[in-house]
Amino acid sequence: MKKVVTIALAVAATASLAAAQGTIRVGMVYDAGGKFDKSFNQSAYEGGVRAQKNLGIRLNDFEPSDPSQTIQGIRNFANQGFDLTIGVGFANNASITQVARENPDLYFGLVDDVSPAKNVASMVFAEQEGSYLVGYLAGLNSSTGVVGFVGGMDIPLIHKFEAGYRAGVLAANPKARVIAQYVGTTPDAWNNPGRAKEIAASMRSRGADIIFAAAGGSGNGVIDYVKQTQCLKAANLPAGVKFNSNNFANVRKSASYTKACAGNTRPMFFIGVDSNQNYLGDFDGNPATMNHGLTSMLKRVDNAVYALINDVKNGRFKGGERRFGLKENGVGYAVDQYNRALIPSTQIARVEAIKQRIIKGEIKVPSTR
Amino acid sequence: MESLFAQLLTTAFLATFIRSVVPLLLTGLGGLFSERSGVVNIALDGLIIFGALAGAVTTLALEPSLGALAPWLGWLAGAVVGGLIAWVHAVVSIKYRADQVISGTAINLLAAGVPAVILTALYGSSTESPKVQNALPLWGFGELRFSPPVFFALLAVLVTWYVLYRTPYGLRLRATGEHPGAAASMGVNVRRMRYSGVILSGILAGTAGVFLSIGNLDSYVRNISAGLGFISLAALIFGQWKPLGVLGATVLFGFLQALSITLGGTNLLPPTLVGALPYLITIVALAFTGRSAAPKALGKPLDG
Repeated sequence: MKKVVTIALAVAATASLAAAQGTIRVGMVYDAGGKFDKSFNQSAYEGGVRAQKNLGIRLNDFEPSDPSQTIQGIRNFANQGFDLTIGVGFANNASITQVARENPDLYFGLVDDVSPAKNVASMVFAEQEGSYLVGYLAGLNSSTGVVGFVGGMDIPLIHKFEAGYRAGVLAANPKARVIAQYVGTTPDAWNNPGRAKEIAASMRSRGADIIFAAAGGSGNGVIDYVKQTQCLKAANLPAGVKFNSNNFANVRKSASYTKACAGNTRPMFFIGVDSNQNYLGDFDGNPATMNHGLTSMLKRVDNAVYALINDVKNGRFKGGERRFGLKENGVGYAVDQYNRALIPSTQIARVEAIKQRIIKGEIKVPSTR
Repeated sequence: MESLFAQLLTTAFLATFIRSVVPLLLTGLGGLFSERSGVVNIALDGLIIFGALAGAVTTLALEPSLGALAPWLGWLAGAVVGGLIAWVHAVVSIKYRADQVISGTAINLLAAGVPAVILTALYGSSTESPKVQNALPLWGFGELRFSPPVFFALLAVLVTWYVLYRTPYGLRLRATGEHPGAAASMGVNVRRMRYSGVILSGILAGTAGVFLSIGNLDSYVRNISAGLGFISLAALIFGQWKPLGVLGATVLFGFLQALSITLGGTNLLPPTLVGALPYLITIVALAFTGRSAAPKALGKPLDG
């Protein structure tokens, strides 16, 4: 309670100062993942910081230490008369909606869910479209034809990732198999890397060599597992699974990889989520040798947040749903110096062609499993 | 079904199984020392969290200068911090004779809030620490490679059994939990025995935490225990407060956890049911334990 009071005082102090200057004030409230989750909340934060720098707004944020505090944080910003308060994450929907109805003259934003209140701009993403593209890359590159999907909490939002990924994998390789598993059914599932790591181990024992983790902080467990094992060995493959291809034979390997993965082996990869997590696959601190992040499914929460703040600043705020898909550059896949050696330009061309077909509506990507 | 059995016979399943048992076993044995001395310890979950945090923070602080030695000192720090927090529980419940359940709850509540403050102060993130470069090493071969706390846990069962049943200390500890008055009249320092039992529980639970943060993963994340401390308590009761009983109970619970992970990606059972399986069976197991042979003076402060 004391913490809340101190925050309230701090907010009040900065708020009165800003009000005097007439700057736009933006409040941001994160969800269970926390501000620096290297993923989705952090992306929202970065969008806010960019707006602070470029648009001259004032950004205040609030990190609830348990979900019951979110409404207090949101109401606090509203009571101070903040022009815009953004709730990051679907879990904040009820709180944002309630406070928005209490304050019809203020603007609100919500990421990942649609609020029924008129003064809330709801930013939702077509995660299935971006997931389709990374799934397509996984299907092209899997040596075994078995790939994994680790979801965080078992909810429709994450089913969108799974459905798009599965469809993309099968589009690239109709004979492929996708093993999907969720960390849990409660919000704790976003912060349970230990369990995610064991799930990754179980997937590898079934022959999966590429694992897409859409699991917030739990994804770290998948990355850590890939780091620890680095490769799949022919001797450990289950019955019915064999190496069909070897796309990475010519990629330069690190010394530790060559040592741990001698003989008939294939490298393991993870696919990152939300932010560009490719760099996390550089286990030896040398981007020139093989990295284990195949690509990342980008969800540009930062762009969505930035655009919303810009609208508020220019007096163009409009409530209701805003959809961000491939067309709006709201989702995508990441290519950078960490995975350029892994994905040949011919593959990039194929993925770009698929992307255009999705934008034109020629490929319909499923959003439910 | 055939594919299920094929899954359960893999070394990967065995490895998952062992890694699921270890934190439960360490914490359960810790609880055993505390409760055998007569002090209820529901703070185990919080002690795991403090141990995990101390292990990661110490490793991060020392690894620039000490390299691969740092995680070992991290382990030491996790055990010491676990022991220190448990000592607080001991002071409150032994010296000041507060309600032991309430004192334990307070420590669990602290564990929910304090790590976020420490992480924010040190690393500017309330939910996780940076990754350590030097985690505890893995020993073994092939898929069956484990960090040292795994071997420590197996050793700890034997040592606990020996200490409890074959040494004067064990006899005094058990007497303290059963008949503190009688033990005191025979010259046993009941309070000191209880302090030692509670502090040992903190050291063991702290080690379980160290296993979770730098033994199995490479960083501390919020709520890393994920309720393991409470399952360990259930295992302690199910195992009738005996070292081998605790081993059996934690092996069962660990097996169920590993099973839920391995079954999760198959279509044999609905995933939500699979996830709930360990907890359902825990409740059933407790219901069929029958009359619990709890230490008679458990939860009662020593008068006079």
